[in-house]
Amino acid sequence: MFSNYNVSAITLLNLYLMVYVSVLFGTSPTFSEYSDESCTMNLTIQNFQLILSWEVKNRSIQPTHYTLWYTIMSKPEDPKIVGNCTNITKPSCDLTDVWEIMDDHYIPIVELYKGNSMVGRCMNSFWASDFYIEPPRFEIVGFLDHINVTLEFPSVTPKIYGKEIQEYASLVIEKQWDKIVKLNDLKLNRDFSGNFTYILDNLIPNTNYCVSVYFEPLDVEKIIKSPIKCIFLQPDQESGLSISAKIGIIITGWIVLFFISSILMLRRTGYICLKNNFPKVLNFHNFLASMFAEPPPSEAVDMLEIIHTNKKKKLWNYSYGDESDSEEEEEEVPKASATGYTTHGLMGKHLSQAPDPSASSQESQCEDSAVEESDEPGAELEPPREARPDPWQPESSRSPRERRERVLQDSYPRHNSSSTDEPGDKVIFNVNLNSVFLRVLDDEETSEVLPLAEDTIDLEEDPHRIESSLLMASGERTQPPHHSSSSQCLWTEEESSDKTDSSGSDTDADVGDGYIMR
Amino acid sequence: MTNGCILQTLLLLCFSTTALSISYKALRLYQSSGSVTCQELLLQLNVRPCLEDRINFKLPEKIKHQQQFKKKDAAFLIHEMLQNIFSVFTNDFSSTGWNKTIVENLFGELHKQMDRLETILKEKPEESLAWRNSMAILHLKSYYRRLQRYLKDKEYSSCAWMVVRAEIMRNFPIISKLTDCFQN
Repeated sequence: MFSNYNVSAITLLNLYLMVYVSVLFGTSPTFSEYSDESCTMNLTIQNFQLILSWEVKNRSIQPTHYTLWYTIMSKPEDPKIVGNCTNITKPSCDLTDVWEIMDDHYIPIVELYKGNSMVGRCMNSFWASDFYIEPPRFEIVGFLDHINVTLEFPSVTPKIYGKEIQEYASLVIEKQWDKIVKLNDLKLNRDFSGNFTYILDNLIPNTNYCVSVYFEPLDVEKIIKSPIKCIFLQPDQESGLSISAKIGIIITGWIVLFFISSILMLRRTGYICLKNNFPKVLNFHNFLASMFAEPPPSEAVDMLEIIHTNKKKKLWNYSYGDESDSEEEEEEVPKASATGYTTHGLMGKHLSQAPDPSASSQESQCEDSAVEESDEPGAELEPPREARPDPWQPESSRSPRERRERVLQDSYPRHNSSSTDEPGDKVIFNVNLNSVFLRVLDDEETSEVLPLAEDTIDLEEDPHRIESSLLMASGERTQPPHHSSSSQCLWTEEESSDKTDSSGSDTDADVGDGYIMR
Repeated sequence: MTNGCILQTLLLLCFSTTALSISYKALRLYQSSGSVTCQELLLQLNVRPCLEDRINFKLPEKIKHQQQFKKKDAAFLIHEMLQNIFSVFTNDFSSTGWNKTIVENLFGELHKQMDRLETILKEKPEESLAWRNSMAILHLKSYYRRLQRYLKDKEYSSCAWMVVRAEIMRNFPIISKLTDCFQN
C-alpha cells in the first residue's frame, strides 16, 4: 500500500515536472522554428551612439520590415524585443540605452518580414565591447602658420555601457606632411560634448597640410580613420585683412575725405559755383509731358476734309425747274452754271482749326488753289476759315462767308456728321488734274453763290439735294499758274480713279460720278 | 664582517623591493596587453550562436570586487584564473571547427602570462600556500569545475563550446581589473 502510494506520488510529480517544463519552454519564442538566414551585422558607435546594422545576404528575400530581439549568453533569459526597433524599415537600430551590460555576449535576433508575414530571421553574437568607433566630423581652417581643427561633437554625449567614450578609445588628430605622419594624441580630460577646437601650431607657411581624425581603441585593428582634409597655408593667409590691406584702406579713406573737404571749401569760398540752372534741353522735369505734348500751335489754318459721297449717275437734267422738280431729285444733280461749266460738288466739312499742321497746310493749299481757281461763278468751294456761324441767325444778317460756311454746314448731312468723325468716312481722292479743274469762288461771286446757297438752304430738308447744290468746277480747264498748286492736292475717289484715265481724253465723257470733262 | 653581511642583506631587500615595484608596473603592462590578446583570439573562435544550452555558471562575486585585493593577492587570483582557462581549452573542441592555430596561440599567450606571474609568486611561497586554501580560490576552482562538467555533460558539442567560450571571455575583463591592482 505504501509502495503504491509512493509510485503514484512519483508519477504525479513527474507529470507536474513535465507540465512545468513544457510550459516553461512553451512560453519562450520558438526561434528555432524559423530557418536562420545569413546576415552581416555590424556594431558601431556613430556620433556617440551604439548602432547595430545588418544586411541580409540572401537577396531573394528582400524584406520590407524588421523587428529586433536580443538576449545574453550568461543567463538563460528569453529574448527581449527592442521597442524602438519594432517593425522598422531601416536595417539598423540604436541600442545606446538598450545594451547596458559591458562584459557579456549579446545575441541580436532580427526577424525579417515581407508585408505581414515573417520570411526569416538573422542571429548573431556580439561581445559587448566588440564595436567599431566612427570618427567625428571636423572642419579645418588654415592660417599663416597654424591650423584650427574644429571637432563637431553633439551637445550631449550619451554613455556606452555606462562609460564615457574616452574610456574605450583616445582621440587622435593625424597631421600629414610630405608623407610624414605625426600624431597628436589628444587625451582630452574633458567630456566630448559640444564643438571643440584644437590648434595645430608651429607649421610652415606656404605648405600643404592634410589632417585626419579618428578614435584609437585598444585594438588598433579596429581604427576607422576619417577622410583626409587638406589645406594650403598661404603666406599672407591670416585672419581678417593683412596689415598692408588695412593701411591701404586707411589711406584711401583719408584721400577721399581730403577731396570732399577741398570741394566743400572751394564751394564755400565761391571759387566753385554750382549752378542749378540747366539748359532747357537738360531739363528733364517735364520730359514725359513733353513727349506727349501737343504740337505747337501752328498757324491758323482751316482744314477741309473732303468726304466722298456716292452719287448716282444721272444725266444732267438741264431743266432748271422749280423746286418741286429739284425736290424729286434725291441725288445730286450737276447744275450748269452761267459759265457753262458743269460743276459737281465735293462735300467738304469744316474741321477744327489746325488739328494736323501738315495736313492742314496741304489742305490749305488745296483750299487756296481752289479759291484761286474759282474765279467763275457757279463753282463754290469755300474754305470756312471762321467759326461756324450761328445756325439760327437769319440769313440776311450773315456775311457772305458765313453763309457759305452755313451752306457747307447745312449741306453736310447731320446724320453723317458723326460718321465724318470716323476715319472710315475719309476718302482720299486720286484725281487726274489734267481732267479736273478746281474753281474757287472769290468774293465777287458771292451774289451768284447766294442763290446757290439759298437753294441749299431751301434744300435743307433733303440732304441729298443739298449735296448736289455744292458743286465744284469740274472739267477741263487749263490754268497753268494754279495747276501746280492744285497738283499738290490729291483727291482720290474710288470711282474717279478709274475714270481719270478715261478723263485724259479730250472728249467729253461721263466720268462716272459727276465729273464731266470739258 | 657581520656588518657587511647585514648591509648586503639590506641592500638586497631594497633592490628587490624596487625590482618588484618595477616588475609590478611591467607586469601590469604585460598583463593588460596579454588580456587583450587573449580576448582577440577568443573572438576569432567563431561559433554559430545557439540559445538552447545556455546556463548561469555563477562566477564568484568576490573576485568582482577588486578593491579589497593587494598586489600579490591579485596576482594569485589572476594566475589561478589563467591556469583554469588553459585547462578548459585543453578539452576536445573538434565539434566546433575551430582553427587549431588560434587555440595554440591562445595557449601560448596564457602560458606567457602565467610565467610572469609565477616570477612574483615564487618570492614568498608560504603566502602562495595560504592563498591556495583561501575561500576566493576555492570558489574560483568550483566555478571552473562547473564549466568542465558542463562541457562533459553536453558531450563537447559546438553549442556547449559556444556557451563556454562566451563565459571565458567574461573572465578577462575581471583579469584586467585585477591587473589594475598592481598599481596600488
